[in-house]
Amino acid sequence: MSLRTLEYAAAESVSGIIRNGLMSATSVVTIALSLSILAAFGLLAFGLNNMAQGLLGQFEIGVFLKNGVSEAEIAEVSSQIEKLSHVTSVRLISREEAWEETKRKIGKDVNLTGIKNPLPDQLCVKLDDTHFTARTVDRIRKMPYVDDVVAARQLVERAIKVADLIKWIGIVSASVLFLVTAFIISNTIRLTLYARRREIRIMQLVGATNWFIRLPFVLEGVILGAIGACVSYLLVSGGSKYVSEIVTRNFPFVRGQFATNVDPIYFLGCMIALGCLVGAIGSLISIRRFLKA
Amino acid sequence: MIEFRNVSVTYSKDVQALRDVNLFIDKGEFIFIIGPTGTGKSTLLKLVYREEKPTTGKVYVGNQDVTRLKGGAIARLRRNIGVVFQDFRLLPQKTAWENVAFALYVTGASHREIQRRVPDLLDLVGVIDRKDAYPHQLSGGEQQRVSIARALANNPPILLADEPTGNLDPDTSWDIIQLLERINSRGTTIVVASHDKHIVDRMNKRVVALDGGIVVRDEEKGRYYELANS
Repeated sequence: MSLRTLEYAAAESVSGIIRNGLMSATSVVTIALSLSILAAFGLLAFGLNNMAQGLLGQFEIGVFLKNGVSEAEIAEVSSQIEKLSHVTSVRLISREEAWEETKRKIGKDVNLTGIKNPLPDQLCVKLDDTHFTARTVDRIRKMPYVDDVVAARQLVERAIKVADLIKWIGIVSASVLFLVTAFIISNTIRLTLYARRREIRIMQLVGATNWFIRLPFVLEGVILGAIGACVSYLLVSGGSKYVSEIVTRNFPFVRGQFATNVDPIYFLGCMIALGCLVGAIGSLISIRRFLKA
Repeated sequence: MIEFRNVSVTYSKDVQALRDVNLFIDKGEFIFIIGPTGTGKSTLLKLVYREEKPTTGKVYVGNQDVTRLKGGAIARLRRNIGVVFQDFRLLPQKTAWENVAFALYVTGASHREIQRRVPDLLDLVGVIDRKDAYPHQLSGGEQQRVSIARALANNPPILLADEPTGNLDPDTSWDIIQLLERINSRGTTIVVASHDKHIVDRMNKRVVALDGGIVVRDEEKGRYYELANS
C-alpha cells in the first residue's frame, strides 16, 4: 500500500464524515453511549472481581501436623507443599507460638496455667488461584506427618462461583453491545457509500482494486469509532469517579477493594482500540454488502 | 483477442439473455454488435469486462479465461478494457480534467504520470480546451469525448462502447464514431453495441447481429439489415 493511497483514503474519509455531518455526529454519540455502557460493565466486573479475589486471597489452607514431629520433618513437609503448583506461600505457626497466642487471647477469662500445650504445629498455605483449593487440600492430606487439613471450602467455592458469574455476565453483555455498535456504524457508512455510489461504480469499472475502494470507508468507520471512544472515555472516567465516591461513602468496608482506579492511559488506549475495531468491522459489513450488489 | 465459446446467460427460467453464442474478435478489429433493444448486446459486453458471468460456456480475453477471475484479477482485467456508455457516467462534481485524472488516480498512477497523461488524452479526444468545465456545462458530444478519454486512461488494448451514440444527434454521433475509428487505427480493438442503422451502414465494418440472444448473422463489411430484407 503506497503513501498516496493512504493520503487519498484519509482525504476521502474525512470528507465523507463532513459531508454526512449530522449522521456522523449521531453515530459518534451512539458509539460513545454504547462504549460507555460497555466500559461501565467492564469496570464493574473488574471491580467486583478484584473484590472477590481480595476476599478469596485472605483464605488460607490450614495444615495441622501430627504430634511430636521434629523440626526437620516440619521442614520436609513444608518444602513438599511449596513444590505443589499454585502454592504461593507456606508459613509455619509452631505449637509454642500458637499456644502463646491462645493464652494471650483467652488467658484472661480461662485459667490455663499448668495445662500442657495441647496444640499441634500448623502450616498456613496460600494459593495464587483459589480454584485449585480442593485439589491442593487432597494432595496435602496424603503427605506424611499431616494430621488434618482444613479449608473454608464451601465458602471459597461459593465466592468463586459468584466471581465467575460476574465475569460471564460482563463478557456476554460486552459482546452484545459490541455487535450493536458495529451495526450502528455500518448504517452510517452505508449512507456514505450511497452518496458515493457513482464514484465506486466508476472505480470498479476502470479497475481500482477492492482494497483501494474499501480503504476510505474503513478509515471513516475507524475515525468515528475512535472519536466515540474518546467521548465515552470522558463520560466513563467522570462517572466512575462519582460512583466510587458514593460507594466508599456508603459502604466504607469495600474501600480499596472495589477498585476502579485503572491506569487512565491504559484505559483510554483500550477504549480507542475497541472503538477502532468496532468501526472497522461495522464499515466492512456494509461495504461487503454494497460491493456485492 | 476476445472469444466466446458456447456462451449462454440465463437470468431465470424464462429470461435467457444469450443462447449458445460463439464469437471470435481479433486484435485490432472494429466490430458492431447490433440488434433490437433487450436482445443481449449489453450482456455480451458485460461478459467481457466481467460485470457478469456466463451461466454456461467460456469467455476468453487475451487468452485468459475471464469466467474464473476473482477480486484483484478482475481489477487487472478492467485496466486492460475501456468501457463507454450511452449515459456517459461522468462524475458531476468533477471537471473534465478531474474525471479523466480520477481513473488514473484510483488505479495508482503517480501525480507526475497524471499530469502527463490527462492533457494527452483530452487532446486526443478533442476537448482539451474544455478541461475545466463540469459535465453539466458540456454538450452531450463533449461529455462522451471525456468519457472516452477516461476509458482510454490506462491505455487499454480493448475499448467497449455500449450504445455510445444513443443520446446524441446524428452529426455528433458521426463525430464520436469517427473518433472511435481514429482510436482503432492506433491499434485498439473496438466493440460497439448499437442500433443506429445509419452509422452501421456508413461505417461498413464487421457486423454481428443478435436476435433473442442468438447470433443470427456475422459478416465482414456488413450492414444493419441483411440485403435481402432491406
